[in-house]
Amino acid sequence: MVMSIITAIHTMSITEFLPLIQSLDALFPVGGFTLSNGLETYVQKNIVCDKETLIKFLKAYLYVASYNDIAFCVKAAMGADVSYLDRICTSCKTPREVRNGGMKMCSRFLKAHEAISGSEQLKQYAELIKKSECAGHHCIAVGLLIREKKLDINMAAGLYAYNILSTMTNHAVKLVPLRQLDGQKALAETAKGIEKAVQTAVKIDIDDLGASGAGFDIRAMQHEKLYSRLYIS
Amino acid sequence: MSELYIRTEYNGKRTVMTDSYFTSPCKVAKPFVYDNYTEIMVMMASAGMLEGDTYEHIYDICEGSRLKITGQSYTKIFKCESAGVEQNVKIRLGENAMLYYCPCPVIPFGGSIFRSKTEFYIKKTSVLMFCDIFSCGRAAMGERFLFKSYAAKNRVYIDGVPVFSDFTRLIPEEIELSGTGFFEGYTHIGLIYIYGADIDRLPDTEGLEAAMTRASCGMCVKVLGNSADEIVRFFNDITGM
Repeated sequence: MVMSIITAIHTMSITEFLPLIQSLDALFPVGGFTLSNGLETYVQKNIVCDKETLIKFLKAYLYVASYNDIAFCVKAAMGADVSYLDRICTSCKTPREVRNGGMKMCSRFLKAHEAISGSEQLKQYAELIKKSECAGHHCIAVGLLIREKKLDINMAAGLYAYNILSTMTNHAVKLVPLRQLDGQKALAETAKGIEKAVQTAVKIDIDDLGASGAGFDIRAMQHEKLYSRLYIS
Repeated sequence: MSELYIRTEYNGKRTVMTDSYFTSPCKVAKPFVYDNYTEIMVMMASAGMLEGDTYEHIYDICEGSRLKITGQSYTKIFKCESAGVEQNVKIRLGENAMLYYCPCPVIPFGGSIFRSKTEFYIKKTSVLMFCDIFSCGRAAMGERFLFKSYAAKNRVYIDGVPVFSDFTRLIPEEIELSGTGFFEGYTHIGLIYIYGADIDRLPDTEGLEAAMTRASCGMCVKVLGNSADEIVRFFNDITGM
């Protein structure tokens, strides 16, 4: 009996996860490498300047993401009404560059998937965007892919959360700059919080989506006016 | 439960309060009528908000009204056991109506629990400005992040469709709030949202960390500072009211 339960849990194979892993890979052409979501401001203002300050940044970033991108992804994966989620997501993403960045990533994500997988859920989302009924957000598109592939939501959203952290770490290593290994240490340290972040994203009410961090918002807004910028957000 | 209802109309010359109803401890001062708008001050005949208090405020700002709603001094949230304080505000704006909603800055005392929900139902032709200012506690006496939880939801609907949301959810035991991502070394956070009017640039921001952005609908300014009064002044400079 116990054995059969264990086998049931482990029946999800790597093959089923590969489309998501490919979609979250740094090489997947969605353009995440150009979006720092305000981190560039933190670095220019010397608030993020070494491994310790990067860890503080990533911890807070993951916490806020558990009410935002990770939560929108999870709710989409759980089958919440996509048009409603999309509208709430648009209304919550106040900093212009962060909002537009997520939308640009979404359109590239959908284009890439049209070419490689022909996912039905993503096709419908693309239709809604085309009809201007949805704005199109990357986090929701990732959630729909998870739903389409019927992946374990905790595992899949955890991979997405890891992708968010590793992308930000990579930005910090380039911007500060930091030693590669310091970046990896910061990533390993903060990745321990992923399980909890995903649990939060799963359990929160749909009405609580979008809780923001004022500091993050302000830095992302200040980015619009930075004198020299390497990143689009 | 404490209730408040206010209705304003434009009578062809100025904005007048045509209906009002309130229960203790809420009170409404006699409106100040200025040349181009009317100001209504909502007062509280109590020291602050207490455990178990519920506030339900509804405003109907009818077609053509031009109004500023303010409060008196600060909203203090006292120490709570478990139920906390709940506040729900619903504001309906008519066609071509203009509102600057500028409630008191909120000070969550040590041990307090606060939940608020402010919803604006506006029309495409309305002009809406609202602000929301809160502190990390009684900062002047060194009380910081000792409240249990502080949650404030602001949402704007145009013809029933949500177009702007700003949720603050602060629980000091879950995450360090004094630093990166939240208060960033400051003691106060402020937000002002503007729909139907444009701002080109921000007024002088010395002592404040402020930034402006174009939200998906309307403009938004967020600010960090060390004084509620300074943030209120900064916002009033932006709105000119």
